[in-house]
Amino acid sequence: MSEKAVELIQVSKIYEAAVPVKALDEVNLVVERGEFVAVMGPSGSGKTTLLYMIGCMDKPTRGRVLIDGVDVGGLSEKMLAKIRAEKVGFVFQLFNLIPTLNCLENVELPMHIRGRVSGREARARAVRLLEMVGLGDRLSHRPAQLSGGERQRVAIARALANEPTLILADEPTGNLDSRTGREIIDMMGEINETTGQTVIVVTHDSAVARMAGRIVQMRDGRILSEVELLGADQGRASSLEELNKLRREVMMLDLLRSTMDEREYYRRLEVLQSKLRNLEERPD
Amino acid sequence: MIRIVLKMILKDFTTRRARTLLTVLGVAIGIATMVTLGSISGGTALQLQQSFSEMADFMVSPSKGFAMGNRMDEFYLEYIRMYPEVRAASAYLGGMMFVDGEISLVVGAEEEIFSVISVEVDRGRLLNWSNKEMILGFAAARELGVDVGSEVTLSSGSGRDGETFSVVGILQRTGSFFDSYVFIPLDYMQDMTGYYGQVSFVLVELTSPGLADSFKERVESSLPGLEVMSPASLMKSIDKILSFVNGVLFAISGVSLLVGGTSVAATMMTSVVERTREIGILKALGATRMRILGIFLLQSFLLCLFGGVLGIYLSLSITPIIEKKVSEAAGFTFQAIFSPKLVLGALMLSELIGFISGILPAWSAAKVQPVEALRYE
Repeated sequence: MSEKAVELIQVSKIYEAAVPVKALDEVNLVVERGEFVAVMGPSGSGKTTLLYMIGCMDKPTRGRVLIDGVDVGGLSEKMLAKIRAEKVGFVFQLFNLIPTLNCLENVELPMHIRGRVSGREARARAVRLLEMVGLGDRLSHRPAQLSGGERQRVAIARALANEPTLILADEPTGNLDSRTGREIIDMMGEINETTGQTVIVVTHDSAVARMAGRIVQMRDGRILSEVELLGADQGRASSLEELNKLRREVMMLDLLRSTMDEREYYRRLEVLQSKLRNLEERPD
Repeated sequence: MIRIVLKMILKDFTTRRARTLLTVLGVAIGIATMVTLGSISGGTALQLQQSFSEMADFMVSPSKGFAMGNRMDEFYLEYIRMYPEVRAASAYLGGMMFVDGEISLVVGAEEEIFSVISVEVDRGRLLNWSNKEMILGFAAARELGVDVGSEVTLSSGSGRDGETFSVVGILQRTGSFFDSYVFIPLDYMQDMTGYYGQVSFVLVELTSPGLADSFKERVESSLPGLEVMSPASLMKSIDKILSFVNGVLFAISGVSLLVGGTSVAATMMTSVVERTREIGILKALGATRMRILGIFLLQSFLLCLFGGVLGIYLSLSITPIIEKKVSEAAGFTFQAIFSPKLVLGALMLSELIGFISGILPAWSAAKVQPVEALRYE
């Protein structure tokens, strides 16, 4: 499968100010479907602008942005909102949960905004998403009552609510300690690996970047280099951790089933099942 | 969606409790002003209408006009009674007097008055017109705390000696001015006021309504200085005055509503600024401009709905006090009217304010750029 999930052609973004700021300078980038891409670079290098451009939050000053082959430059505000609701799941550095709503409501919210499922279905799916990220016992907690890592897991559950095909994360580990950050990035890796979702992560964190299949380096609004990585770095986990991970992945695959065709779903399910069988045969 | 949006809005209200209360109060005061003035003017109009519909077909009065101080000679009454068009006629001499120390409108009249005006005795009997007897309107009796058989002292001034009258009858409740009136025989009224041989006007009932023009012409040609008026035509000119007064009253309440609306707009603007980040999040999750606009308009609607309901409640609790004060001052029972139309109109008006004051803040919320909103601290 080598469809282009995202394609940027000669994209520039200039912010009008007393001295105009060139946040993106003729950027060209292709992200294939199912890729895990890390965008790195110093502050002000344009990586967040790039992410928002891909997420249809902003329009380029020049150039073309294609999402699933559709040029979003010519789309109306309403259509852009529709793409954000249907195709994109955002994860932010500052979590950006709505403080007045509890976990369940925060995860339900995108489904209500999209308006495709009934209230009851939205609630049921939100419960399952929160169970999947390990917060099944925190449904009615408000964000302020959770730790940073837990908040980010709620944010991941929320990002997956509308079964997007594109997960965009802006410094998802930036406000977390390294261990919690690792958990979060592992989870994003799992999403990518298990369900074939395209994941683009903007980060400073080289540990995060090691998870990716490709690292895009940016500076001054330009892409400096792109590095392909072979095989993600994965330490050996204990059987129990492995088992929990596999269970989560089965759930994840099921929750995002509609983003793939039947054959692909069963192929991925088969992979997980064989991993489970291997684990059972492992003698520890 | 609506459940979650409502929760977000209500949470915004409760976290900014003082601000919300003050804003709601601002709207409430405007609505209360409007509803109170509306109910008072509605009550006045209805009372006038009822009074005039119960009154005689025609009134013959001095042509200087219909006013408390104008009087005419009693002997005209004899002429008027002789006209062929007239079925019944009664003199009417009104004045403010102290009835058991309470100031009231007292009417000196003759037997015929109760066939000319359509009010009947509820308890007791009609006056024996040569005795010192008295009939009271329904409300006058209730306020003085007297009933058939009571003795009542009547005096023309607070310092003067009174004369004692016995109450022989109480009139039916009519909802008009007559409820507050006290009726005594004309002769005693003339004695007590010193207007010997004079009356305020003459009330006339015709044998047929078709004779109105010929009656009017006959009076005005043969009895110079007199004027014939029908309560219906009087009502028309009073209606004109009333609608002018109403216009002024509504302009006053309009100003206070304007102030209320401005405070709603200010509150909404602040709320939009405070929740910029939240708007950014909603947009990132795929909310359209219209959706954001709707959320903030709903918030503004709710603020004004609370204001409207509170305003109506305030008005309902203030109005009885006003009714009491006006009744005391004017000497007749005054009743405000809360018609469903008025209450519904007030609610609709408060929602209109919600829309007008909310549209600009809501639009500025809808226009928020998601990228900038998410950077907003």
